Amino acid sequence: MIRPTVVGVYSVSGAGKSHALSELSRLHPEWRCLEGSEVIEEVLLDQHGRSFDQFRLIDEEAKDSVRTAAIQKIKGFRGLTLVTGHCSFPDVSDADVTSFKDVFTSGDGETYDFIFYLDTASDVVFQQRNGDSISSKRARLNLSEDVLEQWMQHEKTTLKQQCDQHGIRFETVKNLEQLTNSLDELVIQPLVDAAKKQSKEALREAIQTLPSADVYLLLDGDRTLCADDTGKLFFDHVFEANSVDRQKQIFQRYKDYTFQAFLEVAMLYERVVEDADYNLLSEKTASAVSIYCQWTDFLGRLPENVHPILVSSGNREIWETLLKLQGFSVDAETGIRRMSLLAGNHIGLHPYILDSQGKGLVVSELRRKVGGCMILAFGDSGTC
Amino acid sequence: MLESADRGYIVLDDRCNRSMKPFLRAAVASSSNHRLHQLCVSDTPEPIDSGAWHDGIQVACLENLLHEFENNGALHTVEDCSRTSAAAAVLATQTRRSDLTGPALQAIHCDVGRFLSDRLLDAFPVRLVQQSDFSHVQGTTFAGETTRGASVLIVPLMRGGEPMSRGVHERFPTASMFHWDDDQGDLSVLERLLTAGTVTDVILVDSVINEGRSMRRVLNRMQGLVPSALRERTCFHVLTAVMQQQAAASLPFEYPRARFLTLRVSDNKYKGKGGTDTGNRLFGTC
Repeated sequence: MIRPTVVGVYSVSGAGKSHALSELSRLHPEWRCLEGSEVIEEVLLDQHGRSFDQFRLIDEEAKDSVRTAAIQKIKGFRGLTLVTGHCSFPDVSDADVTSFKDVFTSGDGETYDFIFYLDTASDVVFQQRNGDSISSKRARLNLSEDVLEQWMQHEKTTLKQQCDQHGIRFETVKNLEQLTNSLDELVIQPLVDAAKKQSKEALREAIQTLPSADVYLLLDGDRTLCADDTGKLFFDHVFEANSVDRQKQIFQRYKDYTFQAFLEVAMLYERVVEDADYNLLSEKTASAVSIYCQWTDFLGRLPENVHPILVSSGNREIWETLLKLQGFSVDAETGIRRMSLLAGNHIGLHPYILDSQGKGLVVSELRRKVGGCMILAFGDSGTC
Repeated sequence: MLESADRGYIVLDDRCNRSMKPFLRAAVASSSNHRLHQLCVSDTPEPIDSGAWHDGIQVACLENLLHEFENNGALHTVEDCSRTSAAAAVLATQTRRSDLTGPALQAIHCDVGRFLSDRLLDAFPVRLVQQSDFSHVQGTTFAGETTRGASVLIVPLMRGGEPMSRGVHERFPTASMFHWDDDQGDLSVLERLLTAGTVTDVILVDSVINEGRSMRRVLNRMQGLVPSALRERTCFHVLTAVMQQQAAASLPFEYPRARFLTLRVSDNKYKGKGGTDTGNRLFGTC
């Protein structure tokens, strides 16, 4: 549903990349945020049994192979990945440090879709580096403001060239606020627009496959067919008790339940559980929930010309399992306890997601598809 | 979907979902609140505490809905405009006056056609309205709403439906029109229009439906002419100035995919003939 996207945040050590990454990670639990150095460290340990401090001790060929392996780790995530990276390092063999060793590989060039350069003022970088050295969080070379300025200039020029060569969108930003705004404008909004379009098309296709009926019953899932919010129950299994409700955190960012909110929750599903665990946890959640018996009775006595469709913004796999457990034939066209299912919530597994506009689309597409049909909708909230 | 469906059922459980309150207030105040119901679902057989029901929205229950399905499979009824619209009642009065005949009465019927078409547009915007670009008075272009043409076929039943159909045609100026005559043998034009595959909405127009024999004949014939691949998609809309009560009760049940719209439903069992027959009054052929 969305194109897997890798965004690099580059700058010199001490510019504030880690701080930016940590802030963005806190605000966006649905993004995969990685410190490039940590990915390299993982590979170093795997391949050479060394720690990150010893990276500079291995030969150039080995370093390149470690970087390539690191890039492979960064790829393969179906959502948005934000990675901090270094374009170059000062050449310490030169006492005045006027040259820089470039470490941007062709693998990097093929992987990144966007690179943002954190162009922090060199005096700020100087102060932050000294601060880091004092608190001995990280060992930093003692470089003057001038050298830092040169280093950053070199990086910006090199990265611009590399990005032009590889078709990567390159932008410089002055601080975290600018980075946040640029990310939203250049990365997130186009992603949301493309996903919206694709989701609408896929939903339309799904609606076309529904059986013909005189009357359609569109039933919401959570808090309508059952008493529970199954999405919340699912995430309770994933996150520790008393930790922040990540799904709620995402919805609270928006005034209404917009498509973007649902898309970000769909990215959250991709982010926090592997597919196998997702299926297991969905089944586990479903087995602890039951549909109101008034519904199972009613839905088991429908005449053939009345067709029920579960239309849910919630977890599709939970509803699929729950319906089957309670004796429904999911997506059957005829027979007692038949139920079609229109639901999507996971960017990696489902071709569409359902926001309230999507639910409205179900009504209008059914009206177009089946002349003269009657549509009854059942739900517990104004967003149904 | 609750607001855009034909009927929306607000489901309340015994925990009285607080997020519903603003929606319910807006729903009670809105003009479409007659389409909304509140429904209580729980696992216990005890009825919900009556204090939990909201004023202003009719209460429903699943058992009653099942009975409705048994009695009237497709659930819809004839829309009787005079019941809810003062404008419809005024127009209906004009059609019943003995001092209006010939062209004056035809003009009233044309008005009825326009009025019912407007109601039809409100009921089926997805099917009957489309966006198009227009030239604005300020010299720019703007996207506006217009009625569909290629997908609409107007079929007046001759001769009583003819003046009304002129009003319908005004509202759907780019639609095709086929004059249905019971005696006409050659339906090749009609067949051609229906098999072309562009028509999705057929508007059948007649001034009066008594027992409904003529309309049933036309509906049966027309439904048979629609290619089977297009049958699911095609909607028949029946417009009439007056419909007898018995026909109003049975036609929607017999034709679950057709929609019926009348200016008024009459409980007068008197069937017009001679000077009281509408066709004679319209065309001076008593």
